[in-house]
Amino acid sequence: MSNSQKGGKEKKANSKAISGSLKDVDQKRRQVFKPILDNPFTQSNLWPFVKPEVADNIIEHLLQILAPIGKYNKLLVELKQSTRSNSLKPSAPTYYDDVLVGFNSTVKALEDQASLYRRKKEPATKRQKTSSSSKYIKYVFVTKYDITPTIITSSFPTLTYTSSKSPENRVKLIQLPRGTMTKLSEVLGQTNCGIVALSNDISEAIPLYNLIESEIKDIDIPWLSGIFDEDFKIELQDLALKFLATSAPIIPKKNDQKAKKKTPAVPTEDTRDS
Amino acid sequence: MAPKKPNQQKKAPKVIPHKDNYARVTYLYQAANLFSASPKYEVLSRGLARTLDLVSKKTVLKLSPELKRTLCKKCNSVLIPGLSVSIYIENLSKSKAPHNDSLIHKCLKCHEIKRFPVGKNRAYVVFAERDDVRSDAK
Repeated sequence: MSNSQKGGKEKKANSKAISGSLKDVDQKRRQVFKPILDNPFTQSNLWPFVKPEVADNIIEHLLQILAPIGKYNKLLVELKQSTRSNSLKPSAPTYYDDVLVGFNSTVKALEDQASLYRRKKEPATKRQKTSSSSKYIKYVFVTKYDITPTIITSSFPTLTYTSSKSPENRVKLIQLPRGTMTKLSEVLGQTNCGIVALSNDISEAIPLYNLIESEIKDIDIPWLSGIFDEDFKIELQDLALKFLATSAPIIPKKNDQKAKKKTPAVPTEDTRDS
Repeated sequence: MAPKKPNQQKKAPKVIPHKDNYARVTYLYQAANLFSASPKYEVLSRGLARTLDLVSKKTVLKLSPELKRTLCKKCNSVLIPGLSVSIYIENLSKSKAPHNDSLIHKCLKCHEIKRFPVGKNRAYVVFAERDDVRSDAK
C-alpha cells in the first residue's frame, strides 16, 4: 500500500518537473545561438595606432613637461600645511593653464570646444567664452588600457573628432601603453591620473608636437563626416549581427504524435539487447 | 570518456530568423544618425529613432548595449559625445570613496541622465563582449 503511494508521488513529481521547479535543475539544455544586433558603425578600431617605440618617446617628452607642474602642486600643498609666516608663493610654470589633468576637466574642455566650433546645441555661457577663446586643446593623452571599465574611455574618439576645429586641424588622440598611469600619477603627485590634455601653444612642448604630428594619424570617423561637410554622403553599412552562445532548455512538446509513437519502441529495443 | 570542452563551439546558424526586422532597425539607426548631424532635420532624426525603438520592441529583437547607449531613452535623440551628450564622472558620497564613482551621460536636449556605476565593479564587461560569446558577423 505504502509502496504504491510512493510510486504515485514520484510520478507526480516527474510530471511536475517539466514545468520549472527546483527539481528540473539538471534538465537537459541545448546550445543555441541568439542573434544580437550590433552598432553598424565600427567603434573599436577608431583609436589611432601608436608604435611602441614612438609611445616610449612620447611618454618621455610628456613626463618632462608635466614634472614642473607636479613640483608646483607639491609646493602648494606644503604651503597650505605650513604656517602663514612662509608667505612666499612659488611661481607657477608658464604653461600651467595649458595642461589639463583628469577626466572631468579634459572632457569639459573638449565639450566646450565642440559647442564653440559646431555651434549646435546650447549657446556658450560666459565662462566657456572666456576659457575657450584663447587656447585650443589639441593633444589628448589617454592611458586606455589602465582605465576600466572601457565605457569611460570609449567616448574619446568621437569626442575628439567633434571638438576639432576643422578637418585639417583635428584634435590628436594618443593612446598610451599599459602601465603609464602609474608613471603619470607619480610625476603629477596625484592618484589615478590617466588622462592628460595639452593645448597647442606650449613652447616647451614643440618637439613633442612635431613627433605626434609626424607619427600619429588623425582620427577619422567616417559616419560623422557630415559635421564638417554638409554635402557628405554616407554609405549604408551592412547588417552587423553577433551571435550570443547561450543555452535553452529542451522542453518536450505537448501532444507530439511522432514522439508518442517512438517512445514505446525504445524500451523494447533495450530489453532485446540485454 | 574525455570530458567535453566547455569552449567547444558549434557553427553559427546560417539562416537568421526575422532578418528583415534587423535590417530595418539598422537602416533606421543609420538614417537617424545621418540626420542628427544637421539641426534642420533634428526632429526627423528623433522620429526615426523612435520608430527604431518601437520596431525593436514589437518584434522582440535583441539590440547590443553599445547601440542602445547611443540613443536617449527619453527624447530618442542620437547621443554623440560633444554634440548632443555631456559626459562626466560624479561622486556623491561624502567620503569620496572611489567605489562610488559613477559615469554620467546627460542628454543635452532633454537633460535626461543615464548613470553608469563604474566604481562598483571595475572589471565589468558587457555581456555581449565577453569571451565566451561568438562574434560572427553574419
